[in-house]
Amino acid sequence: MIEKLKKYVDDLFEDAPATKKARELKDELLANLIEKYNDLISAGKGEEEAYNIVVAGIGDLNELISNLKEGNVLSPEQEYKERKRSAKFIAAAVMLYILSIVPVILKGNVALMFVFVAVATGILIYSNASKPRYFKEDETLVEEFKEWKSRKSRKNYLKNSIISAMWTLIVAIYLVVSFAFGIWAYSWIIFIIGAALSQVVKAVFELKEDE
Amino acid sequence: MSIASDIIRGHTDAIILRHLIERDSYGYEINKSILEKTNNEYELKEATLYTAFRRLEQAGCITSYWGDESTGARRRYYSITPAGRETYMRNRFDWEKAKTLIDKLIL
Repeated sequence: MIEKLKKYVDDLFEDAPATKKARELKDELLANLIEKYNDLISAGKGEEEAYNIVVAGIGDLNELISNLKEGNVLSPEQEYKERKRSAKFIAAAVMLYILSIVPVILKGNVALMFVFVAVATGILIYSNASKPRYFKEDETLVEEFKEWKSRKSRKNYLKNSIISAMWTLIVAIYLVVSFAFGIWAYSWIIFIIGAALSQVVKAVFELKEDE
Repeated sequence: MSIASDIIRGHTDAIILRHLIERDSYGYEINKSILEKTNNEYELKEATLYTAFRRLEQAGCITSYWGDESTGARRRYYSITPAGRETYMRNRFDWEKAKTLIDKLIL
């Protein structure tokens, strides 16, 4: 009869998502039902009667089971907050990149330009590193995929930040060096070096991903 | 009985918290004690009980852990948190107030 009870609970959870939460609820329910059934048998009830009493006492689990399907780690509210936060960081970083040319134009101060660029890149990296990650809720494939996707988009974000910062810097160096020394005929070569460097950055990220 | 059980169902959370104040417990034990205290007149449906557990856990009123029974299925125990005790006191106060008011209106 306990087998029949197990079968009944299995059927109840047929449409439930294959998550840890659902499995736990099922285990919990079954443990309690079996104990109730055994108590009823000890109290002198017949097997059939005890089974019927136990099943009748369960009630409507549909709502509870359908609630298991919902629930994300990042709620829409958190996501909105996070988007606002990273927008501020990116805006600040871009502003610094643009302003980095100003000391060069005004005073020919290249060192200060590098400081601006370094701070801006630092902000981008910090903004990325402090982003809340998606942690899988349980061991299902869907959750694993979500975590993998979140990890991948973080990496892409970092890669794109570095490459765009690098190009800004290259343009700045090109202009400064060309104006300062008047070597327009040769200084364009920096763009070819830049293209090569950006390939190197991409390759480094891909290699890290393969590990 | 049906009006009475509707009213009781509205206080499921308080009933569970009241039980957990005494000691950590699991679903069937709580239901068994409800049955005993009401002389077999009232019992919670499993669905109602577990929905209340999830709700209370999410609200931070209770926490859960798995027992280490060596034989048979494992039990999931619940224990009350300080926030849960506070919620219980508030529910109790609300109930006492409602009881006096309803007495005045009906009796």
